[in-house]
Amino acid sequence: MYLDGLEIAGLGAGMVFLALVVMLVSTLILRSVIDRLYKFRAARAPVAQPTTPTPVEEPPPAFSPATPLEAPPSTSGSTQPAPRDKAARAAAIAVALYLAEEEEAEGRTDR
Amino acid sequence: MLVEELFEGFIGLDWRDVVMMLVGGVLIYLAIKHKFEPLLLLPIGLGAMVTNLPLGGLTDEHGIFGVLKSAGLDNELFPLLMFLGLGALTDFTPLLQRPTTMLLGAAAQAGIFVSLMAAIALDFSLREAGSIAIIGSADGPTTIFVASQLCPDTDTCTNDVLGPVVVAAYSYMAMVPIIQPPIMKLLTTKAERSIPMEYTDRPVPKLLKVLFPILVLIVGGLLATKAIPLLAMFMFGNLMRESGVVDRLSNTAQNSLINIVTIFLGLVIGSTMTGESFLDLETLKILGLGLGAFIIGTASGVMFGKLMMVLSGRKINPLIGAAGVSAVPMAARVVQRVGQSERPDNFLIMHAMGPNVAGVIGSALAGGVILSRVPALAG
Repeated sequence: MYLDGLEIAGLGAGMVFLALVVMLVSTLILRSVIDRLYKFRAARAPVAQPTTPTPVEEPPPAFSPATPLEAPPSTSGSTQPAPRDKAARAAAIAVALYLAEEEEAEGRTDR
Repeated sequence: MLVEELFEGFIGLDWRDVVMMLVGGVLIYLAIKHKFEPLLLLPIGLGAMVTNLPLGGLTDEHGIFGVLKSAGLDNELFPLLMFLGLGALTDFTPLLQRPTTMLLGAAAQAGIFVSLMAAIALDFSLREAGSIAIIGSADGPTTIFVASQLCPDTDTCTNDVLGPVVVAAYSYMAMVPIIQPPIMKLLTTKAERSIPMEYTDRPVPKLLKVLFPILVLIVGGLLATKAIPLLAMFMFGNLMRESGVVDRLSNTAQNSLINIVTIFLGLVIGSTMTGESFLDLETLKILGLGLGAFIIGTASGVMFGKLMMVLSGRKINPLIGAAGVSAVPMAARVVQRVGQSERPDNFLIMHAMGPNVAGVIGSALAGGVILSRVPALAG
């Protein structure tokens, strides 16, 4: 039984060392490959061209999430469309009616 | 007759039951008062107390401890689930920052194999010797995994070694701050203990952290096939952590799962500590051999650390070798404490964490070799 024990002890110690040495070498190789890969990627990445300083654009006005983007904030606090919007909508309707009447008068039926 | 029925508990009480209840009480005391591995010693202590109450029937086939034992210990489920959680908790970054410290995790496993020989010399069978030797791994789940496979019952092994082995392993792990410093100081000079090691937070690519557990699993699994269950669960846990895409699973493994398994495992281990199986001379021998395994493991780690110190031109403090015994993270903390007692501005803990986690891999591999060779030779 002593010989069996000696065999297990020798084999076990050797196997643990061997496994960890293989893991160590594999880790070092893996790390080296990954480092090279990262360097290769960095080298292939487009290099930023030197540019003349450009004037910085003003950032767009920030909207609060509660405010719908379609409707600019009303200064009066009312949710009704502003007077300028009303005029524009009325004009658009008038133009559309005019064009429809004209088309009718010309007898266009391709709609 | 009525009196006998009323006092059947007292009548069935044996002196060994009383002693074991006291042992359970001591474990609970150590857990609460001294915070010695409380997560395990508390349920183990209570399990030992309860199981020695006569006529409780807890360890019967349909008793709660009997059910838990057959569900999780007899088939190695609990230690493997523990390893899953431990893998999710382990950070290999310090090891990957200085991979050469991996060798210290191998050197500190010498205690396992020396105590195997010593156990054979003390007339233990080969299976019992293998179960006792694995105490030197300083790793609870590995110890349970190996001992429960080598000595599942008294038909396979004459002595019921599982309970004493597991209690010895966890008790000595809790006592690492007491066991290790004298050995570390004995084997090193003051100048060696004062060698400074500067810590530079060298970045480790995420790709390497993800590939490392897979690499360890493949290499370890090919070289020590019986270690595959342990390595697979540990590395799967670590992969969940490092992949960063399954945080919910990783958190479950790190917290809920490992906590539930710890409760069950502790109670079941405690329930194996019955008076008949625990109170004999063999248990004392097992406790002595386990202590020897811890001491030799620490000594071999420190001696290998000295070799690395010489080879590196005194850039490595030999104390970090002591952390190779596993016992994460207690052994690394001990290295930090001993190193700082010699030189207050020396911070060794991050350097010690490398061999510390390598020790977990090394002990799983050693367990795998024992599991493959012992049954083959013992028959």
